[in-house]
Amino acid sequence: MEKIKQFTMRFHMKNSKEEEALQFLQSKSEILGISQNTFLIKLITDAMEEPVEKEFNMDKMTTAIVNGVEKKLLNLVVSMMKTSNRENEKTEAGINDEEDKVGLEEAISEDAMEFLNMF
Amino acid sequence: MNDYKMNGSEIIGIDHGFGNMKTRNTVFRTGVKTFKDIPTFGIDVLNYEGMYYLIGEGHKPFIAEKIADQDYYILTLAAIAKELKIRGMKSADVILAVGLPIVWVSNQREEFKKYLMQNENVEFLYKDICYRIHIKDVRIYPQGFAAVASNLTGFEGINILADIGNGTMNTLFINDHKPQGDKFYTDKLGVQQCINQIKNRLLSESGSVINESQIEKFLITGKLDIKPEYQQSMREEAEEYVRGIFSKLIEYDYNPDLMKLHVVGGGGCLIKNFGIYDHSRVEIITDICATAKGYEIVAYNSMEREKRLGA
Repeated sequence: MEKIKQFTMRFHMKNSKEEEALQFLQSKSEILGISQNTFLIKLITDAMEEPVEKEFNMDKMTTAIVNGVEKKLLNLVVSMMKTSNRENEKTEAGINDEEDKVGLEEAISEDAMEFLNMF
Repeated sequence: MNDYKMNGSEIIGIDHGFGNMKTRNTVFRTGVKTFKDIPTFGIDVLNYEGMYYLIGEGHKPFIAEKIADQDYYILTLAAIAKELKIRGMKSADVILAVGLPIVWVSNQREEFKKYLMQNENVEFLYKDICYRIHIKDVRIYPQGFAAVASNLTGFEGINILADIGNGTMNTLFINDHKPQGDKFYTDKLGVQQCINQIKNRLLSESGSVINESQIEKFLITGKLDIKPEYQQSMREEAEEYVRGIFSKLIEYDYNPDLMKLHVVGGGGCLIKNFGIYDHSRVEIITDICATAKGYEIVAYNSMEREKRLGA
């Protein structure tokens, strides 16, 4: 059975950097027609592929990742041929909003299926 | 892939609540007002077969059968439109994944399915956008359980799942990850009962008629900017309602020392704000869209399984 772990991200609107980050997340995912969840996971997984530098440079790394991710996601979007007209009124980036669909066929246990089949 | 699809069809989970309609990404009031002509006010307008419907307006009283009138059908179309807009679509083949109170599923399933599939091909305008949908199938599941069906790993030992909606409370035992097919109940013990009790109390004590939306605000947040004595009366009624919930659960052999309680649905906030309980043994699932999301997951898995088994 697939195990899903969830967490919620909070952006403090008093902090201009965080506000900017939220706006970036919202606008990019909207333009690309993908969820904020997908966008963030891609961002993290791409970060994992980056070589670890001795002196950690957050700004440099973020720029590199974002550029790389954007390129990949744009390709993805072209293939998806989806419109970018998304409606999302949430102010929090809900990492838990959408489950990863990979391996979904394993997400429901036999016991749960058996129960559902009773009805 | 962002959305659940099956053979090119969009799987759309809809939780037809008595208080709110929920989809994966949207929540709106369960209310419809019908007009012959374009309503002057309101932007949430659906135009279907020559009639205009103002979505989210008015309040629908509790009815045991959701198919009694066309309201839930119109609300379903609005829910589909809202979801399709988020998915960037105006036309689609759709598989609806919906639910009914747990003890009514078997009896009402066919009728509800027929009701939602009254027209396989539907064309309507919603907020001036034309939607063309083909409803290919309707899958119906027990309410509440769908919200946790894909995540039963946390249900070690004896657990009670209580789905407290506006109209009903659905209760199910889940022991060591396994839902108990002989221990589930539906009671007309929804949040609306609490709202009615508060309204009656304030009316009898002070002659004041309080707006339901104010009461809802109080129940969700635990506070409201009104006279302290009014607030005290409201609090007492809410606490009484929560005690009633726990009494009902105890009738079903709930023992807080021996088992865990998991609460889904809008009633969770009442437990949180007005209940006395051991926080380490009660989980309140605050995502109001959890059941609608769960319907999609369950429907997708069921269909995948059927495909594998060649059904």
